[in-house]
Amino acid sequence: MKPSVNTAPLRALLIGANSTRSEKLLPLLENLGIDLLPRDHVRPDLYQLLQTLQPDLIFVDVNSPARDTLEHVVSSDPNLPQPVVNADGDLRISLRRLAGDIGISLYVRNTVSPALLQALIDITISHCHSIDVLRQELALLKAPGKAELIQAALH
Amino acid sequence: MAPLEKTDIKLGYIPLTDCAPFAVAKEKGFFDEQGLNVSLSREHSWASIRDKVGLGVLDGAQMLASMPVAARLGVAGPRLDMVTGFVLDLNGNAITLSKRLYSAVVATDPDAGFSPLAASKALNLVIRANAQNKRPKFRFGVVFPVSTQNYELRYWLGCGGTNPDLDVEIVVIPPPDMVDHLQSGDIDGYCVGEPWNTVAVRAGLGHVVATKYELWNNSPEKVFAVARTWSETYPGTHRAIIRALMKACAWLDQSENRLIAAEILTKCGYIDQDLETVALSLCGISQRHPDRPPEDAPDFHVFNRYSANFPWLNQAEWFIAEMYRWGQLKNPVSISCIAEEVYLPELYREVAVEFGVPCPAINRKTEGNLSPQMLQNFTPHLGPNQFIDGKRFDVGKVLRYLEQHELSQANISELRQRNETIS
Repeated sequence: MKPSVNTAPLRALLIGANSTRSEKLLPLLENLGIDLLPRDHVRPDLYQLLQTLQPDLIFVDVNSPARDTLEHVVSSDPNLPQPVVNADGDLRISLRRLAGDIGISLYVRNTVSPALLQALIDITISHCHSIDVLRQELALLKAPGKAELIQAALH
Repeated sequence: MAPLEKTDIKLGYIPLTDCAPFAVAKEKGFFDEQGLNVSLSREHSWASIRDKVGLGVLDGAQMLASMPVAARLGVAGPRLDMVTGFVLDLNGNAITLSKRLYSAVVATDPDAGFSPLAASKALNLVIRANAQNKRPKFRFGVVFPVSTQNYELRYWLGCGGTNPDLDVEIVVIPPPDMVDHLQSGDIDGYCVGEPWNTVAVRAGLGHVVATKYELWNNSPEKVFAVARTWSETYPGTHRAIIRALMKACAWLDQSENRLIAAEILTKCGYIDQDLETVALSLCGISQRHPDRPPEDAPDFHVFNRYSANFPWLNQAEWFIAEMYRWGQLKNPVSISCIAEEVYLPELYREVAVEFGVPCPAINRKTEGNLSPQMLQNFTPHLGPNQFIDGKRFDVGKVLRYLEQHELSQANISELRQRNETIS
């Protein structure tokens, strides 16, 4: 008998992302069919939050002060997403760009396949980079009419 | 001296008082003297520092002395090969209790206000009474799962008979948020580096019941760590950074420079606190209680004396022992081999000899056998090394040391099979 394939959408949590970064990630996750878990607390207790929500993926701002708390929570439960740092080859380069250029660290559950992980990271980098380029071009434009056009294209 | 393979360098630090070696090396031009163009990156978490060094976003960083060992073992995080050839400082942390909990502890035993060991035992009685009355467990904050502060808090709780995994709750909180959490009642105490103990005491929110020095005299606190592959690719640059830090640490341990260091830290934007708060502990003054005068604590921060910068292998072994003791590490590994892979005394020795700095001739030393009284008028290269509970950690006897502790999750017989050369 073939093992059943889990077709439920992946569930992601954003931690410490500022509004600019959230704006970039939200449409991307939506397009990829990843459910974004609600997090409307100002200072939530991560210990309870993660146990309740049980996300598959966590996108955390590399400069989030909550990062070390997150590390403690996931280190005490192997079923929660774990930090992805130790990698070779293309994945290492992608992770480096994700942390260094985009400012995001990723925690992933061990049920997420390496191929999907690589694709997810590359799409995130590409998407965020494209938006940055567009924003830079937008800033350079003086004519309000053109700026509005591009602003509309961003959304 | 070896040529520099790379001169543009980015190093990470956390805004704590003991990031002083980095700040001083930068602001006093010691990195420049070595031909290095160093930019310092203020980081917001230890996990971020670990990842950025592991991925090569940073060339190197200030790390908790236990962190590169834990990373090598994959304890409480990903397995990453990190190395250190330089200890940045000794001591520097303290355990602070909220006013409310401190009052209960001192009411149980008045000596608790003067003795860290009495405070630990009195706290245990308070914890038992609390449990009998079916009240929630007391919560304590530390800064990272594999932090020196976590092991220090656990050690202190353990020597009073408190099981840190069962009798209390330990949570991770960023250092700058500790005081707010203490004030809000979210936590009842914490173990953290300066200036966050002084900040709580000066605000009238807490009392320091034990310093890191009192728990284990002159134990390592932060190290300069890099990825192993980085060290192998840039050996000349690695040595040049160590030379600059060596000079900064020697400068810092001249007492007349401590106030200048506090000014550098506060005025150049390394720490967002006022000069007096940062200067107190740096100048060897410990304000432990809001209602008592500050005390002399000349070794609260040690940056160079007592061979402070030497990466002793037995100290890496002590961290591994604690990881076993508290169940963070379960699979048996060769403790001495792991220590030798991560702590690099030979690298330090090479640089020290080149630089004309005295250096220990041995790589391991016994801990717990030298009291301050024994060392009066003795060599400045050797400091007191006593543990709060009077235990000894003899060279090559890691397992025997672990066996001395009643509260321990270590599987000694399994470890003994894997560690034939130590007892």
